[in-house]
Amino acid sequence: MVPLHYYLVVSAILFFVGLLGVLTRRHAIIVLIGVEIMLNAANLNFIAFWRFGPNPDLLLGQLFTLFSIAIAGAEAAVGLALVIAVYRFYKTPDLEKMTSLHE
Amino acid sequence: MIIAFSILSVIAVISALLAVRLRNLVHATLTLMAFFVALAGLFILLMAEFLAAVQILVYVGAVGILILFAIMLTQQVTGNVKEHIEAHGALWGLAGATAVLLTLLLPAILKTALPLQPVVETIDPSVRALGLNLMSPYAIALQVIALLLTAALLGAVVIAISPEKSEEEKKS
Amino acid sequence: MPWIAPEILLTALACVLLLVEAFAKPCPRLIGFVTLAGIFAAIGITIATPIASEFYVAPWGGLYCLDRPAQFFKVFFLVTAALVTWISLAADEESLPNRGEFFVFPLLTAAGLCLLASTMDFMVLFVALELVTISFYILVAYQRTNAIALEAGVKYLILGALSSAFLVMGIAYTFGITGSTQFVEIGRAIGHGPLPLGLKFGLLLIIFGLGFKVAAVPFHLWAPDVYQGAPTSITAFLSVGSKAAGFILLMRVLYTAFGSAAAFATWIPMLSVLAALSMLLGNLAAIPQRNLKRLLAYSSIGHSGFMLIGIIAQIRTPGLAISVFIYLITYLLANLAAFLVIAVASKTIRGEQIHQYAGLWQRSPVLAASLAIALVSLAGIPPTIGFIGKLSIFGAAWQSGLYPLFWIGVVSAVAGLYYYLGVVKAMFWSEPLDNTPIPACLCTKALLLVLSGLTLLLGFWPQGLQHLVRIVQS
Repeated sequence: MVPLHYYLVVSAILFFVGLLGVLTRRHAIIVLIGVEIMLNAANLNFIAFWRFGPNPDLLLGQLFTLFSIAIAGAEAAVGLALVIAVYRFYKTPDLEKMTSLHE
Repeated sequence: MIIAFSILSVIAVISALLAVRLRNLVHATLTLMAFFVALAGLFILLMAEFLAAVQILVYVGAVGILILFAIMLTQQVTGNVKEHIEAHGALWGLAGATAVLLTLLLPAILKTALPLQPVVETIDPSVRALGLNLMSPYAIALQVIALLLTAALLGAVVIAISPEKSEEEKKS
Repeated sequence: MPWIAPEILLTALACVLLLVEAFAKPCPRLIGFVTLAGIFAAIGITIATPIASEFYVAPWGGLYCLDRPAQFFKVFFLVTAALVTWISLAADEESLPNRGEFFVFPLLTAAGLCLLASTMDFMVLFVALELVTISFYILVAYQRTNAIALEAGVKYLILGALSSAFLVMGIAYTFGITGSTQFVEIGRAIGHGPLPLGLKFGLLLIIFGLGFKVAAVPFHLWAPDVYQGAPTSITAFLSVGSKAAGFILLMRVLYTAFGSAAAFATWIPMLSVLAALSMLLGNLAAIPQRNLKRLLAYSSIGHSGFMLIGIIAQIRTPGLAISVFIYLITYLLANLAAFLVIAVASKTIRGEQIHQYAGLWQRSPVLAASLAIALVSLAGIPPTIGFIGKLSIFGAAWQSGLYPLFWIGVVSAVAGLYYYLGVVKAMFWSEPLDNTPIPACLCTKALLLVLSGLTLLLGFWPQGLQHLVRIVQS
């Protein structure tokens, strides 16, 4: 059996990769992809903790992951709708070119 | 088991890295789907077979396709090649993310006493128990999720509908 | 189930209105008034519901509780939602209430906020918080023909999704180490021993996620842009409703789940740093602002810092969390009045720059006087209610020996006087750009009169406020 640490380390690396996408890219869709990867990393953590936890028959980890997947889907839908709407105005999905704020 | 785990996690990490680094958006989305599938494999190793199915249905089937549509509706697929893709201060971002990994995530895992072996060796398929849990103690959370999806559906339509379309609607 | 009656009423009303809007196409204003009536009914139900003396446990196994703080926050959120609906009806912003389905989102948001006020479990917390957050993404970007609103929506969505990813990761670690998602169970699992490093990390990420909600520095980056770009009524909702939600969640999570001495030693320093930075940066960064909504965004960051002091003070001297409740009431009255004035005035003057508000006194005495009273209250000058709020927070800091935070708070409050009074000066003692009077309908004036009247009345007569809060505390 693979120990819990291994899963957590993989999840941590995935979280880092997602954060990397959010912090270093300027394309709105890639930034959203980065956030999705981070949420998936958290889900992996939940499932691993559930499997190795004291009472797996309560299914708490699985339930939370189920909710988290549904919410990530909803967030992606609203996010991509916003990207499309913004694209109509700026003709670019580049986050750094959206500068009508700041007066 | 350790072999399957190694293969799946290497695929997951590499495809995630490619998904956030590739310049071509369609390629990035495809590697993202590979990442979702690899993660579903890890879920199966952890005996959460129902969630593995949900992961593939929702992420690969819905979110991945949604991202592909968004790309098609917005941009020339490859992006502007001449323009560089990094955000301003990308190096700071890299430094920040690495700092989070090295100073927070890894110590938190490695310095905490965690169980090495699961309490029970095998777990029976859990779909029935999951359904019962959703229906009785967590019914309230399930209802809230239903509302949330309704709101998201409505909001996505309201935001993404083209302004000309809604003008026509008003006239008719 | 009378306990969740307000939430059920709001969501049922939202679904019915959605269907009616789709098939019957009634006048959008009518839907707005029905929404308002529904929210008032929910307020009535919440006040009339008897409070169980202990946490309400069965049949959801401690997921939900209805105690005095929960009731206070439910009424608080519902009043906010009602006033926001009123503002969006009164302001009549372009394309905003022209479509009836707009009013479904404040209803859903209010239901989510009410649920947050009584949640005792991370799973319910997460789904209800996401219901609120996703509704807010949509509300911020609702004017889809307005580039500024869309840009604000994208920024809010990306930073909001990032903060929820951190929150989920934090909950995952907390769950993994304590084996539960319920606050009470987590508190029991932590016991009196030292916190494992993984749990400290989880706590840090949870504070990150909730700090984003209350817009505390350094998680405040979204606030100025989003407050400026969103429709004014939604800015009001964000600045009052979303912020108060962050505070009730902080109290629940920190007092119930992380309520051991070892946990205090972990989160009190974190929260103290957040409070000090928020007060200083919020109030100093507001000084050079020329856009009124942006200025109020920075001021609201500063107010978060003041309220965080109250949360810390409760640990040193039990009972002082009451200062947060008092402060929230003062903040609600002043902030909603200010945004109502901005929403009504910006219809005529087409903008929110401070120089456009020059000479507002000559153009509309009612609006100018109300805005002035609201700003003076936010600055914390007697005899307004804001002074009572500041006094209770500073009193709590002094009583529980938080001297560094006390002095930082005093310095920030003095810095705050400068920019609040700068706006007041521009409104009363500057020449207006043009002299056209600004019209305001009778119901707007009546609402402004009530808000400003309460601000002044409770300032002169603080016993009333104390009495109200004592009821909450009992």
